Amino acid sequence: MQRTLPLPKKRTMIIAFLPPLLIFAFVFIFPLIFSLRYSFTDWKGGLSTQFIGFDNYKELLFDSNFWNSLKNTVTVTVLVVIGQVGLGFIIAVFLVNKYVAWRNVHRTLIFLPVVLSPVVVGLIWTIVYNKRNGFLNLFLSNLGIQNIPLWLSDPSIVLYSVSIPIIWQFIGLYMIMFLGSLENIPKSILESADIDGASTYQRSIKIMLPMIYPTFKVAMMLCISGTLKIFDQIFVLTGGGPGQSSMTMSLYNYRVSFDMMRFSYGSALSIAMIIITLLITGFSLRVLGGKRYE
Amino acid sequence: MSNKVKKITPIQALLNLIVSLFTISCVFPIIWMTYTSLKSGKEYQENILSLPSSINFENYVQVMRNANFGQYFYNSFIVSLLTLTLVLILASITGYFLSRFKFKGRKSIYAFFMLGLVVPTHAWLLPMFIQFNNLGILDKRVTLVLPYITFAMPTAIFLLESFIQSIPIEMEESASIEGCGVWQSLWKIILPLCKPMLATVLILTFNTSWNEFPFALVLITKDSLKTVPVALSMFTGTYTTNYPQLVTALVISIIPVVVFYALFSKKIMEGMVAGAVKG
Repeated sequence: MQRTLPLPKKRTMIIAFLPPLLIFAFVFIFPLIFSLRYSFTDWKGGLSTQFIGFDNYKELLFDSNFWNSLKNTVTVTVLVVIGQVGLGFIIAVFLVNKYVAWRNVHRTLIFLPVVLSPVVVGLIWTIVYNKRNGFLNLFLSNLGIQNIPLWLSDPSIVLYSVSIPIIWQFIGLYMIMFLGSLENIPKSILESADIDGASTYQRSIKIMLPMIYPTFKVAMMLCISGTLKIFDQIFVLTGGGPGQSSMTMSLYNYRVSFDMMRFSYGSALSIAMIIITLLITGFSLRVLGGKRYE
Repeated sequence: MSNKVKKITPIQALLNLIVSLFTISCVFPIIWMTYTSLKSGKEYQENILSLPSSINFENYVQVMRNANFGQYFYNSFIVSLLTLTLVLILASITGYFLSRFKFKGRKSIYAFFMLGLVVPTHAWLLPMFIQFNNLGILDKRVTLVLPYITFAMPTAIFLLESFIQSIPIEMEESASIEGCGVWQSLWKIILPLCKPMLATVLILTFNTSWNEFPFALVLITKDSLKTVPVALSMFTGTYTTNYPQLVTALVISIIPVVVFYALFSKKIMEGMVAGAVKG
């Protein structure tokens, strides 16, 4: 800890910290406490509430739709992590290469989708995937390909179809993160590798990868925790369908709570979602090693 | 571009090609949407790639007037403006106090503020709805401001706190000896020096509030208070066939963020990556 100023009066400290702490408590803590309480009742939004113990959680254990949504969430997260972190890294490696022209133009434009609303990105891709005259189908049929799959209504491929827009949108974020740390690798190390005759592949895997591991770890954690709560793009693209085939945890929670108006069961789902997400991120952190927060 | 690089090998050409194709995929949708917004429905059906045969702003008139987009745009703007004003005030104070004073519970308070980055915020959709409903504060102009402040604060506090740490403390020390109060130091010495970082926080906060979707979907049901992303998500249901109008609505909705990005792309990239690295 560096040098500090003499501590001001207690009253000043309270004036400084109380408003934001109250807002945080109001938005995060109180709703959580109330929902925890509702999750043990049969409340459906009306006046009558009865405590029913762990019934909602028992239902959750045997709710195949919930477990399906968890499976979908994990599948999408794996796809998105591979796509975003993987392609972000590859493009960053391309862009530190001095033989690529207009490097600054590339990095600025590849980052552009990151600032767009996920809803906008979802809608752009509904146009891309459109059955009748979407870009993708027009392109494929011009190549003479027949039997084009139904991108968003075939349950066997829909999870891939919804992952692609999510990957595409955020590659730029990971690219910039990796570029930042790749540019910090001392030139001398790369030059001596060149002199020793290392190939581009060897340079990337053997030298760059270990040196950017801290960034890699942060990127993985950011990507995992961001994708576990994925909602916007899939809501716009498929709404979780067809059937339950692209339903993720937060979408399923939304459907139960706001379409079926099952507030008590929805509360139990919210609690379960917090616990499961924290377990998965905690586990990922253990696997990747080290601490994420000081 | 190959004439700019001398003695280009096939592999280098391939690298350039791959990167360029990807870059084009990132820009093309925006260019396509811009000129498609000038096409009629009939033209669109005939060929989705062709340029408009004439410049026609009919879609904009339709979307702004009949689809009520002027209202949604205004709503989003007010919510974002309120959010970023409050975040700038609260985060500067919090960041300043956290970086300049050592007191019991400092670390816990800091960790508490970073909570929003660790937890899956979407799990709060129903809990927050229930609480806001019980208190009768759904469907108000300020409804969305509360969650949006909470979502923007962690990054804002982190950025400002670390920025203030990097400012030498001597000036404030001598100011404090001369009897200058804490608030005065913050206002007169620190905030003017923080301007670049405050600008970054401002842009990032604007971006997250402008783009936020699920909480706006759940906490606002009154049409007259809906924000742009929610209105866009309803568009597909109501106007299934009219793609040029949907595209026009998309163009209108991205104007603020794209203009900001065109002006401050470097700052935005740095800020988002710095904020993300903390998360």
